Amino acid sequence: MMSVSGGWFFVVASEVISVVGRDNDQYLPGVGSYVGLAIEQADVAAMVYAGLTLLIIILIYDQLIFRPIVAWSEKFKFEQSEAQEVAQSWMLRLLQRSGIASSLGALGTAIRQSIPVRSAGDHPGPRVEPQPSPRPIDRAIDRIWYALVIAAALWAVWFLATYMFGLGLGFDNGRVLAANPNVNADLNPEIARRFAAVGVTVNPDQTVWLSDVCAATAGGTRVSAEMAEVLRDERVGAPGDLAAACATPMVPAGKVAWSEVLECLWLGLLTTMRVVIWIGISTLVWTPIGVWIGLRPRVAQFVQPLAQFAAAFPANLLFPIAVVLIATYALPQNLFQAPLMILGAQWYILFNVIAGTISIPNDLKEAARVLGLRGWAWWRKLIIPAIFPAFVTGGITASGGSWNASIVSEVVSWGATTLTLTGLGAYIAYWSTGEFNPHVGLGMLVMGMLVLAFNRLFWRRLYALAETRFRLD
Amino acid sequence: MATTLIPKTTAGVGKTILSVRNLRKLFKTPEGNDLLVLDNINLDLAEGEIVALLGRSGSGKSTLLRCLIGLISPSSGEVRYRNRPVTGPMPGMAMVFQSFALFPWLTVLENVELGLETMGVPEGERRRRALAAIDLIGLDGFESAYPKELSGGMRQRVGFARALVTNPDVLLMDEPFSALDVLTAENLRTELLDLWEARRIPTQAILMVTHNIEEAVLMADRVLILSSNPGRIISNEQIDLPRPRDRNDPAFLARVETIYRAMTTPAAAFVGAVGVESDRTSLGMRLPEAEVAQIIGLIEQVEAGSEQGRGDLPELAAGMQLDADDLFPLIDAAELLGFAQTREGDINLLPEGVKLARSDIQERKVIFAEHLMNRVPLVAHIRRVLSTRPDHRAPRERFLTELEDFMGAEEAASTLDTAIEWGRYAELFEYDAREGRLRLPENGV
Repeated sequence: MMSVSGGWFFVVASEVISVVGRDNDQYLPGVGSYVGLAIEQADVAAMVYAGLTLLIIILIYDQLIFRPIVAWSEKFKFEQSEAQEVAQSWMLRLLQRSGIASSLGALGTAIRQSIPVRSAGDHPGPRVEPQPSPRPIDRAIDRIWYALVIAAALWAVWFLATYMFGLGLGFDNGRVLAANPNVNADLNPEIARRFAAVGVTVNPDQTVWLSDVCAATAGGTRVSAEMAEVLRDERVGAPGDLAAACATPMVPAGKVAWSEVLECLWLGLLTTMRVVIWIGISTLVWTPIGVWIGLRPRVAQFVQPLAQFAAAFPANLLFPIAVVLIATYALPQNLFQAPLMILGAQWYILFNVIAGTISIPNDLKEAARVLGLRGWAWWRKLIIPAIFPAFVTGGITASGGSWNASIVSEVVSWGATTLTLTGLGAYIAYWSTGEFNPHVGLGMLVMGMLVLAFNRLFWRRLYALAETRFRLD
Repeated sequence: MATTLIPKTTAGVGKTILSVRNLRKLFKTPEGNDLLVLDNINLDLAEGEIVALLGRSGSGKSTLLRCLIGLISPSSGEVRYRNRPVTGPMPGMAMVFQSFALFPWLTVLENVELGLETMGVPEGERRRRALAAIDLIGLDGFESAYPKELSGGMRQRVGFARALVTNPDVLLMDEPFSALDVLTAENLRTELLDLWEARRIPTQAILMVTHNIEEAVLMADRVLILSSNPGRIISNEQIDLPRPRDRNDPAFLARVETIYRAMTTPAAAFVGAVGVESDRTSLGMRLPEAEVAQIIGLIEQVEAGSEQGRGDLPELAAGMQLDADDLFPLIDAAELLGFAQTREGDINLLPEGVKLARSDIQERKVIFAEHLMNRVPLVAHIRRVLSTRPDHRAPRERFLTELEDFMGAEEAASTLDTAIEWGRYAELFEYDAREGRLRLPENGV
């Protein structure tokens, strides 16, 4: 159920894909593109319809597909004694008891049995013999194989590096090359057309590289009147002194410069900080609530399905509300837009804390009461250690979820209003112009490495601690 | 017919520490019905005595213990400790749990110190007292170990050290030895009694819940017997034997016999406790959780005994290596199915029981089926429903809902499970657990 929400989240985000070489975005028929269009046109009613549709779809999906599978999988559990709580599904029961299902099953068996299968009788197994020591030729083949694997890996690294930095890997004669910016920063089709009209190479994704402008103006020395007019447009990010900028050696068109890598790392750090802060805040908010619920089985019984449902609902459907609020009341973006990344992920923390609290043995809770544990001591000696393993699981999932969501939530729009936060997610979203390019590659690489480092240095250690010290058994 | 038993004060027993007056406890079932668990409980715990609270599973003895220490508040009635009403756990009372209930993330020393910490004992003294308790209970050298490194016996020692370190006035123990193996349990019991006898612990009184009759006779000055469904105190036996007590001493055996007798009276027994006399013929009859193989095993054991179809319950329990708690459901089942009768702590086989014991597997199934159909209305009812249905099938829930008109959901489920297990053995019907459906056997009538 947890991954379901992630799925819906990106279905909504990714159904609107830009296809290179077309003027309009390509809409795949689906709720996601419906939402995309509704956001573009700022259509409130359409958003509500989309929300209701998704609610119903999730409910149907849950009842007809997900629950039957969970209930059916109980059959394959390694358990001698029957579990207390067994997953139930009316759909599965319907299938198991219906005449059609059992006759279909019988048909399947009949078909299977009608296919002649070779039995063990006419297929004696291999004789068990000691493993022969490898012949020299085998060893030679092994070596060649390893060499091939290493060569392929080296080639892959080289390919990636040159793809991103160009053949000189961002250097020229020992000097670091400068960035080669896109002067059509907003990817505005009109600006792109005007550049094309004055003879500058324009890419299918509307990017116009500074190096191409330089090429069209002989290194910034011969600027025609038309060209000057385009360059003066305030939407064009051309350098003030074009000749000087062109004289500085820069990376090939579309490639990444080392200075951009540093910038990307800085953006990554900003996004990491947002993830850390908001995971921390949602932990502080949801842990006491989750514990409160977990200690009351009746409430938990009622709340858990609701929380699961809330988690399955794609949170990006709610982003426009935030956009409208922030834009209308001029709220500080860092405080009000940043939490969008945790909107869908916070539930993992909540229901893991609930599950962790429920699993605390009653005896332990009673012992704590008899010993007079109260207040902070009760949290420190009983609750926090007891829910720690469950919390770590929830925290890993939630931080992974919010990394994902950062790409969508650092740039949110509603109609003509677009709010952008400075961060790696916004960087990737900006460069996702429809064609995979070195900048997207850089963003992904940096994000991947940050997530990996974050998991290795932080969550893995907590996980190990949870496994060794805080196991309830 | 509830009897109020207030112990006579005997020599060596001082003033009352803990007293219970007219305690009742009702639980709400998930369906919103009231379930009476404890009814009209009156008891006094006096200085200098060890009292055992004995009852079958489902007699509410653990609930009563939790009422005494203030973990559960009674529905009505009152618990008083040293003349103050008990409204929650209070210093002076400590508890030892069946499952040890140690904090797995704390070391032995930290576990033991925990109670002192909450009492606000300064760190230096805390350490000194905890180490003293660890030393007293024989845990030296394990101070820095985590509970999972310890065996069951050592874990329960930590449980005792943690309870005793606060110098409790009253020690309440909830089946403290029943999760341990026989030798370890015996060893711990003896050590605890030695500490008690030598007055090396300041504890004034001990109350322990147990289902082990010998354990109760071995340790207690007084044994209170609780009936089942609801729990009422039906007997109060003084055990005035000198300690250490010898399990083979005739006086000891006589006490055990007396308690067995008290526990097999209809008031204590499982079936008679439903409340309505006519329950033996109605669908609402509760069935004991007894496996067919064990019921037959018991009947065989009695039949093969030297006394012509008569068996002494304590001897049987020892011979079959069963706790009294495991033995009673079997006896209830044998009695209910008309294979045996109990009287005065003895079990007597009826002719049908003897016949069952001497038959082969197929004959046994026939006899068992016949008795089930005649004596267990629920089984007969299931058969009837299945045979009237055109497809000879019916979901389990159908019967569960019917049973829930008569009893709580948990008991209904356990009764239905027992009926299904018995009926399956007797080949009266089949059950598909995956589909949750009962059906008549293929070749069934």
